[in-house]
Amino acid sequence: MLRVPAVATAVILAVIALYWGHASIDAARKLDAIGAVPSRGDYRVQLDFAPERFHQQRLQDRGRLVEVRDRTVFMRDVGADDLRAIAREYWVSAIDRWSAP
Amino acid sequence: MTPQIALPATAGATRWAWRGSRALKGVAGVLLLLLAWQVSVPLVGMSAYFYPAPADVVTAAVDLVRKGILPVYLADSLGRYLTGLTIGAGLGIALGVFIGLNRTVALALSPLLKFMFAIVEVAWIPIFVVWFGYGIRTIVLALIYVVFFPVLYNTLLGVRTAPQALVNAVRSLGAGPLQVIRLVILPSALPGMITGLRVGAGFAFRGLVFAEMVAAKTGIGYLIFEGAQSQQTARTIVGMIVMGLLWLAIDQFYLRPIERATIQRWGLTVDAEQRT
Amino acid sequence: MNLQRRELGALPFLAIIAAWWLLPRLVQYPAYMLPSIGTVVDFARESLLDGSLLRNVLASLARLAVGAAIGLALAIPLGIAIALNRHVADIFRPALSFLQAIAGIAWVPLTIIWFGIGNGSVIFVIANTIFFASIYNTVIGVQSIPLALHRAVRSHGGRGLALLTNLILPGALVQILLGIRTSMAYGWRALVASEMIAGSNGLGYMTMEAVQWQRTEVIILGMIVIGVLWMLMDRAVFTVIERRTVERWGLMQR
Repeated sequence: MLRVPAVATAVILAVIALYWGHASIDAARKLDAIGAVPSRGDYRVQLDFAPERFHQQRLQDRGRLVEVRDRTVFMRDVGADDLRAIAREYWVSAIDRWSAP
Repeated sequence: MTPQIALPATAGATRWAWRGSRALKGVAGVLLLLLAWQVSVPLVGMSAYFYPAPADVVTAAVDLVRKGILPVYLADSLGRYLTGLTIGAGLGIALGVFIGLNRTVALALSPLLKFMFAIVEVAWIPIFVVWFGYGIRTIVLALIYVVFFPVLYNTLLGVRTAPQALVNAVRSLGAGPLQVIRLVILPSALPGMITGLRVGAGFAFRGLVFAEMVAAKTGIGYLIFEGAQSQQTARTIVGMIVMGLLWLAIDQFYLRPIERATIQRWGLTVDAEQRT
Repeated sequence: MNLQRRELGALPFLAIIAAWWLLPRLVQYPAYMLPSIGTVVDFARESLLDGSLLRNVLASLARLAVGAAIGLALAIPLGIAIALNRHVADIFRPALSFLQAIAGIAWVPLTIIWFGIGNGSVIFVIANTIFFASIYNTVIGVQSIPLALHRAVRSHGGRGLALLTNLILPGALVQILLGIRTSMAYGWRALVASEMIAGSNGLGYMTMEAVQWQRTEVIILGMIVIGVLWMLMDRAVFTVIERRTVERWGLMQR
């Protein structure tokens, strides 16, 4: 009878693992545009929609949010690990380098 | 939260058909509800801010998933819930066994514990906010509180009703106190612990949503609150529906099977509802 | 032996009061974290004398009563009606179970949109909580009456109202009463919680509002009053109900 919880847990873990796998592969694709990831950098993060406070907050946790224009978020001072984390978010569609003025 | 309704003692295929037809009826009931909701929208005749239609809610749900908001909120809520549940249950069981083993201590602490539990977990939120501010600590603490007491009570009950004859028998065979606990006390207290856990899990789930409304920036409770605040009432309803589905999943896939397994093994029929 | 038990039970309370009295003399901390016993007692006296505590208590209890009355008056008849037909009951039980999962506090933001801050919202949330909790238990209670009993009463010519009073109500009574007790537990929480968010007065409101002003003595008094009130309610009202109806009819051993 403990089969049901065990199966449910297995399914949940499988889903999480699949999600992580997919997100990581996708992240690698997004980071291709950047090439070698510098230890600190300024970037332009593209979304498919206008970022809400939720997204701005999440990005703010990973770097300095300078400006939000339309569907693009400009960030400065983003570390390498933070950038990979941003790339893993599936609602981020593209990341470019940005030369801050 | 249902006592077991005995299924008719029929052969395999008929039983599945029986179960299937009941499931279908259940689905029909839900569909009827949705239909009533849809029909009521033009009757109420107000804006989507005031009374969203099912279509608005579906759109909002898709939007929330596409934007990555719902998965994160769901994960945050579940994380808080599981943390509170495990710590609260762990403490409740540990203290329940400890207190239950000593009659004097149990008698002395009972009135205090009764009183503390009477101060519903909801009422602790304000002082937790004063002490720990807004955020995850306050939320998890409230959950620990609300899970702790039912688990403690029911564990205590289970420990106190462990058959003395068995304890004596095991002791006479040379078992030390720890072995007595492991071999007799814990197994006999197990159904009580699980019942307490089920009650605590229920209160904790409601408590979670409330605490998130007051003290969180993410989570299903926060979604329900923020949707209304930001004039996106459809999101509030998405939150409510997710909350309902989440509880059904927790109850169906975890709480009930575990309770059934424990009770079947120990041959008792206890209904969780009656132990509130 | 009984006297010993009462004295034993009082010990932890005395220990807590002693620790509370001792703490500020041993450790330094800002007063708003834990006001002294004196501050709480002073506030208790003050709010009793000027009537504000009584007003808040009565306001809360009044809302609970109204909400419970509405909830129960709608839930029990409707629950019985639904459960009388086996198919109708099967159809609605999952939906009711789902609605019960979200009943109450989750509706607060919605009710604020519909009724604004104040009595309307709080009463609606309480009624909502109690309605869904007790209707679900009523349906289960009626459904669990053994078919043989149904047939027995019917074969003796029992129909309509007679069926109701001789079979349904006694048969489902235990579950219905348990449902009322459970739903009141949820309802009380819903009262305090909704007053905290959507109320304009009452115990919950008083306790939450004090956070803003860092008047922790108000919070502590609020908590104590909430605890005492629930203990009184749970013991006095519900155990009495059970004892006088169910035991009288011999459905439960005590």
